[in-house]
Amino acid sequence: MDIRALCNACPVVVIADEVNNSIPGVRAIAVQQVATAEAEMMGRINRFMLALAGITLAVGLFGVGNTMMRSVNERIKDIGIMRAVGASHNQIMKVFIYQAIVIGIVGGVFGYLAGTLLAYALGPVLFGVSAISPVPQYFPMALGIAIGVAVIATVYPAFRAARIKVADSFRSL
Amino acid sequence: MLEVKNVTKIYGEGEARVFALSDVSLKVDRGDFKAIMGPSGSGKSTLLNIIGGLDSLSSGEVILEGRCVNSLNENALVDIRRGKIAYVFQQYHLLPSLTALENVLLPLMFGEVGVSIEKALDILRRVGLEKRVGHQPSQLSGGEQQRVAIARALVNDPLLVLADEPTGNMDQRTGREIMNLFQQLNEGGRSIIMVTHDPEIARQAKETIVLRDGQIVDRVDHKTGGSKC
Repeated sequence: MDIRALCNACPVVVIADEVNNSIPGVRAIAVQQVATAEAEMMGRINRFMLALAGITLAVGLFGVGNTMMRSVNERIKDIGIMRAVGASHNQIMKVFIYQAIVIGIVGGVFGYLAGTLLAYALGPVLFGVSAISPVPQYFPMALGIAIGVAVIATVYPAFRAARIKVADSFRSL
Repeated sequence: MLEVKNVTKIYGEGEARVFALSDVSLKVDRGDFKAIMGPSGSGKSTLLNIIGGLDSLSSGEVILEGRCVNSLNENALVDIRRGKIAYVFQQYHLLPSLTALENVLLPLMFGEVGVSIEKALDILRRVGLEKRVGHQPSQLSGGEQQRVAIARALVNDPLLVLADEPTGNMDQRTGREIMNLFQQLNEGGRSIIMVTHDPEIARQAKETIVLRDGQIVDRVDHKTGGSKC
């Protein structure tokens, strides 16, 4: 049963309690309470999603860093060659940073597309809402975060690459 | 042009110390062509790396055009690699994913004078590879790869070419072709220091320096044929 009261600043929670106490077999809930409970639930879901996104970013950071470190180790000879023909520390670092930017762009585009597709496919199933439409405004943010994470993860491997000595790189073969 | 003064290179510490080079001195003038010979482990490549600023020394001095190479900071060493000294290695050391032309362009891409495809093509023409410019190293023979490496070394017009066993991986005929190229470079006024273990190859230089256990044990002047030690 939907009971409405036309008043401002009514003590709706007190009224609902009185209804519960006075009429046996009836459970009265103030809409305000429902709304608060739903808002609290949405807040929890949002915080959970943010935490999940944070963990995903951390995993991405580790993954890109690991890939770039492996790339540096596999290309020690190439780095030695580039140093021997006149590449400076900064130029060697740039080679890896540019590679990270490309990885970030590819990751950002695919991440945005995959995320949108997943939200479109799973959103209605998980949350019982109507089909979610893509939000193009999120694309620059997704791209920016992906590039940022890739570049941050590459700083240390690129620094290591720039410090490789030519003679050592050839000796290590 | 280049002076190596009492250079010593020690690997390891304490009782594990090994003298890779011990009190080595030599001079290289413009247009000089020196061969460094010696058995494996005698310090030939170490000496070449130290001359080129690729490796550090324990004591002594390497002076190139009045500048002490071993005390230069990293930026100054980069400048030397971009213009004064170039390297040719036994293993060619070309970037496998790049074509012959791109490998020759590499020093220009890192340098400050700018990329000149015409210049790179001209040098590839001079080493006889005008028809192989678009090929990757895996599509080239050993001799052709070494020609690309020589073209790469020449693209910055270096004063001194350091060659570490440039014919070491080649049959005699290809080795002779590469040596002819080095002779032409030297006749064009370039100084060359070449490490080799082949006496035939060494005889084509103006002087041979013989190293053993990190020390110079003989110097042979090929003009006079006489030993100086």
